[in-house]
Formats: sequence, structure tokens, C-alpha cells
Amino acid sequence: MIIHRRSLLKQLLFVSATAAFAPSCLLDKHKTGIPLKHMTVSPEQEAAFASLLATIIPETDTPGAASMHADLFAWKMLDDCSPKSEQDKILKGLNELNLTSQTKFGQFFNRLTEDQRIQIVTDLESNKDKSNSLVAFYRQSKGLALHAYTSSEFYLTKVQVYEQIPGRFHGCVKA
Amino acid sequence: MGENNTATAKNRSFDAIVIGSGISGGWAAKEFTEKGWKTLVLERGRDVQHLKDYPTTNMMPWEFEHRGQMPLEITEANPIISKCYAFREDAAHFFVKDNEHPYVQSKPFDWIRGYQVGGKSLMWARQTQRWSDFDFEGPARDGFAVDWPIRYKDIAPWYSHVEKFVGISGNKDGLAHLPDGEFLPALELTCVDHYFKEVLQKNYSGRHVIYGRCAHLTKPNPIHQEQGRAQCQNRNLCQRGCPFGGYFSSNASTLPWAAKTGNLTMRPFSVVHSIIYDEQKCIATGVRVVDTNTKEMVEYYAKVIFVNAGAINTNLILLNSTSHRFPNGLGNDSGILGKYVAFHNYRARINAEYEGFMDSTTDGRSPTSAYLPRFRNVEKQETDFLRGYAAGFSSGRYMKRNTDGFGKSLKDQLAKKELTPWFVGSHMMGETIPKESNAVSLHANLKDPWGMPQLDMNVAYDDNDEKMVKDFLDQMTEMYTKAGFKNIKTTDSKAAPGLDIHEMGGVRMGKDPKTSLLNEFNQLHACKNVYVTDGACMTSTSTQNPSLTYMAITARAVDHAVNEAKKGS
Repeated sequence: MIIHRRSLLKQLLFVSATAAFAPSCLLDKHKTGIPLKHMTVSPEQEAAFASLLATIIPETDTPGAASMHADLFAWKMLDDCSPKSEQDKILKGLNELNLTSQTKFGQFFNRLTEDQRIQIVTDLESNKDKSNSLVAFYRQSKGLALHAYTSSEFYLTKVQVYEQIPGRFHGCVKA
Repeated sequence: MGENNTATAKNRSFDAIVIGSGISGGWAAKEFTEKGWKTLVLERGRDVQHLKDYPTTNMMPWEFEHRGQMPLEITEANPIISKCYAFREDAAHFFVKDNEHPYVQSKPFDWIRGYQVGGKSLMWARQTQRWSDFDFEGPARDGFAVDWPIRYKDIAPWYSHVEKFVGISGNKDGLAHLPDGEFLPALELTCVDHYFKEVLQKNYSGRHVIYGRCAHLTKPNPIHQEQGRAQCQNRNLCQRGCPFGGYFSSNASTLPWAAKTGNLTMRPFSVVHSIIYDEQKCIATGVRVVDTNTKEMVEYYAKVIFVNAGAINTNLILLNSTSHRFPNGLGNDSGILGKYVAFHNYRARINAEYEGFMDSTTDGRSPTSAYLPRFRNVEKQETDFLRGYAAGFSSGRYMKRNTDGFGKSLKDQLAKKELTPWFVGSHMMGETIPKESNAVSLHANLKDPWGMPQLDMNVAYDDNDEKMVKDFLDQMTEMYTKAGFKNIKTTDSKAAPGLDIHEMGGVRMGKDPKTSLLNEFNQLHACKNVYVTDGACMTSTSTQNPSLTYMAITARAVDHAVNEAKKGS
């Protein structure tokens, strides 16, 4: 695994070095990701994150993470409300996620097919190894996806309806 | 100093000055102005008008930038206020940030403050239980602090007086140690509340579960409608300020009521520096105010001064009011000003689950919960610690949130309307014993931004508190076990004093000027036209939430001041 990673890193460096000649290259250093106050995010990290959240909460016949911009909310929460250690965990984790995607399927996570993404997330979901940094990153990302989704206007008006003005309290009704 | 010339002195003269516009200051303002007294209310913070200045009141959860959570930059810069449960995105603007009013913590003290018109009455937790003679006679019976100079019969009519105006929801439970009041209808207890009540009845004597009494208009009377307040709509977003005036605050109730009389002058941005003492007349003649916008010192004059600055700040003002006659602070002949500060012990908590009543749940929201009045050492001393504790009891069911898996199946799970088993929980509200060593004092060198000496806090728990925490957790665990509650979890937060936001004392009432500052009508023994009727006046703490008692004591003291003035003239 270690050897494999090393060769992969080399490969990434190579891609990086040729960036200037490849207009659509993923590692264009002049492109920046979402502008945040405390964090510097690369376009690759940004794309991978959006894609991961959209895999966790996909579009179905109802809106998912992508259409409700869960990733933008998650970035905001990370940037404004999370300690640096948590921010770093996400950024490192996103690099690791892309490495894993590269290793397995030769593409960064956001470029994978839906089936390939599902395959990676299925592995992460079933991995109970708490010391695995990629698994820890996945849990953190999933927490952010759930937070974004379950506190969204869509969820609180269409799924589990938040009633701001109940105007009543009954202590014991049929469940 | 332009404001201080004689031409304007007349404009700066009033019948009464009330320092502070919070829950007790608001009451002083209402009572004085209703009786025709021209009253100046001094508030150190900004103005907050009912309805107009509640910017978040109608916001939906998803409309908050961080959906309620405070940004890390703010919590890290404000470690003290960030500990407060209500310091969240929807109400943070009503709380004082740490650096806005610095103080010294010789011992850790989480001083939670709300500097604005209305003070903390905007964000209070609204629980309003009367005291009884088991509380007022406590110090004398158990040999701590000093005897209260009043008894239940002295305050009972004033409890009624304020309850009718405030609007208190509750049941007449007929408990000698938690007297009934003038109640609006109570809301319902839950099935599990009722069940727990029966378990306690079966297994113990003297342990009751009642509906907590709270300052909510469950069914407004004409007096509440006249205030412009309407029925509580069970939003439970009270800390934002209520668009219905469903709960009591100075802003929704006493202050607009006082303003309507035409006798109220409200002066925000006014930090009271000190009370002016006239060495010839041997009375207080007014106050010195630092205008927080201009930093100018302005004097105001009145025949009676009420100090309702909030317990700790009331101590600060009196300690800073020095004169030839009172070199150690106004009225402080005994040397005990600032001492015998006490609070409520809220450290302990218990949570569990109950798997009964799976076919039932609650509907809507309740602004309060069930309440276990004190059962320890009530009739007589029976434990190895003094006094006792009350406990909250809340129960309900959440929507189950199964977050296993991902993708469509996860979304389907999150849409299910399945309920968890009942959660149950209780928090401790313990009486603490006032001690001379629990004190606030003026720091020798450090000043706050208005040139006032900073307060130095020396308040801590003692052995009695530790024993009480243990007893609460033991007893609650036993009761929960008898009730068949499962997954019982107990915690001792070890939170510093202050976070209970029930700080009291320092200017205690008593019969003897040698051992107390205030007499039975809350006048300084040594300067009778100065009254203290906020938390600073408390001789002991009881277990009950104190605000109702501050309000009753205030109305009673105003009545006394007005009667004294009539006798004089």
C-alpha cells in the first residue's frame, strides 16, 4: 500500500508539473476553490467534497445535497465554527479520498461514475476501524451532510415539518 | 460637564431613581409611576423596545447563518458567556461579551449578564415558584447566615399582587413548602410525568411531581390584554423576545405600563458610578452616572433611590459609593457589604429512557416542565448536609433519526416518522449556604472601561454543596430505578458558580445592622432612602427560582417608600 501511494504521489506530481500545458488539468495551481476566511481549499478538494456529500444524500425524487448546496453550508460551518484540527482533517481527508479514487479507478472522486462512488462510500460506510483516517474523515463529512440536510428549509418544511407556532401543548396523545 | 449646571439640575431631579431596568427595576418603575411619582430609570445598556427590537424573533431555523451555532472566533474570544445555554445565534445580541465588562476571577465565576433595557428579563427561563416559611425560617432553624427579617405572611399579598399582573401558569397543589398563588391554567403533564408522580407517591412520602409554575399567559386576563400581551403560542423561542408578549419581561409588561403613566423617564447608556450621600442631611440625594456614549459624568437627584442593578452590580455600586461617613461603601458600617454571596447549585443532571407508553406521545411544545419541590430536610434535618434541592423533570419523545447507510435508503430513513422511546431528565436546583468567605470586592487597581473599579470574585462551592450533588444523584437514581427508567446516566458538570444565573446576596436583609445591610423593607439600615430589592438583598437562596420573590419584594418596598413619604409630608 505504501509503495502504491508513493507511486501515486509521483504521478500526481507529474500531473502537477504538466499543469501549465494542460488547460483542463485538475491540478491547476492558479485556480482556487471556494473562498473562505480561514481555510484554503483547492478546486479538487471542493469538487470532491460536493461529490461526496451528493453521494451520501443524492438527488432522488426529492432534493439532495447538490441542489440544496449542502457543501456550501458545510464549508461555512467548517470555516466559521470548527477548530483548525477539524478543518485540516477534512482537507487531508479529501486528498486521501482522491488518492483512493485514483488508486481504484484512475480518476479523482468527482470524476467517478455513480457506481464507482457508491462502491467507495459503501466500503467507508462498512469500515468500523476508528483509527483509519479516511474512515474518520468520512464520518465527519457525513455528519456535516446530515446537519446540512436535516436543518435545511426543504427538510424542515417538507419532510419533518418544523412548526414555529404550535399554539398548543398536549401532554399525552396517541403516537 | 455641560449637563451639570444648576439650570439643568431641575431637569435632572425626580421623585425616585431606579438603577436598572431588569425584572426588579421594571417592577419598581411600574409601582412608582402608577403612584404618581416622577421616576428616572437608569439602564447601563442600550434601549430594547418590545417587538421593535427583537430582530430574530420570527426567523426560521434555516435562516440563521450557522443554523444557531456560534462561530468559533466568538466562542474563543468569549469563553465565559459561551458557556451559557442561551448564548446562540438567535439571542447572542442580548448577552454581554466577556471583554465588554471585564472582572477579576480570584475564583472562577461565570458572570452571565444582559445589558439592555429589560436586562435579563428578556432571556430568563421564566420559572416562578413562591417561597414559604420553610425557606424564610431556614437560616434561623439551621443556624446559618442571619434570620430573615420577613416571613411568608409579609410577602404573600405581594406575591399575589405581582402574579396577577405578570401572569403565572400553575396548579394549586396544596403543598405547604411551595405555596399556591394566583394562577392561570396550567398546561398538561405528560403521561410519563404522571406515571413518575405515581411512582413517587407509592414509594415515598413528601415527594411530589407538579407542573412547574411559569410566567406564561396560558389564558390572558383583561389586565394582560391591557398590557398589549396575548396568549402564549408555545413557540419556546422566548430568548429572542416574544412577538405575542406571551411570557413576562420588563420590555413587554412593566416598562411600557410605566411609560403610559407619563411619569417615566428612561435613560439607557447610563452606568451608575455611585450614589451621592449628603453628609449634612444624612441621606442619599442622587446618583452619579457615566454616559457610556460621551463618557461624561452626570448627576441625577431624587428623594428615594432603588438599586436594582442585578445582584453583583448592585454590590459594585454600593461598594463604589464612598463618602466621609461611609468610607467602605454606602451603608457598610458592618463591613459585610459584598460578603455572604450565594447562588444555586445547578451542577448535577440525570438522564434516562423509559420504554413504557409507547403508544403515546406529546403534541406541541410546553414552556416549562414538571417540577419536584424540595423533599430533603424540609420538616426537619435528616441528612449530613444542610438544606436541599428541587429538581426539574422533563419527558418526551424525539423523532428517531436512523443515520445508518447512505444514499436513497438514508433519505428514506430520515423521512420516517418513528419515535424514540421516552427520554426523561432532571436537573438539580440546590440551595447554597451564604458564607462570609464567598464575597465580591473592588479590585485595588484594575478599572473597567467606564472608570469603575473591577469586581474581584471570590465565590466557591463548599463541602455542603458537594454532599448535596452526591445526594441528588443518589436519590434521583433511586427514584428513576424504582420507576423502571433505563440507561440512567448521571453527570456533574462541575460548572463554576454563576452559570446558574441565580447569583444572590452581598447586601443581605436582616434584623440587626451589625450583621446585615438592609432592614425588613429593604432600606439600608444606615441610609434609609436607599432601597435594594434585586438579588443582592437575599439573606438565603432557597431552592426556588428567585425572580418572583425579587418582584414581590420590590413592589412591597415601593409601597413602603411611598407610605413613608406620605407620613413625612
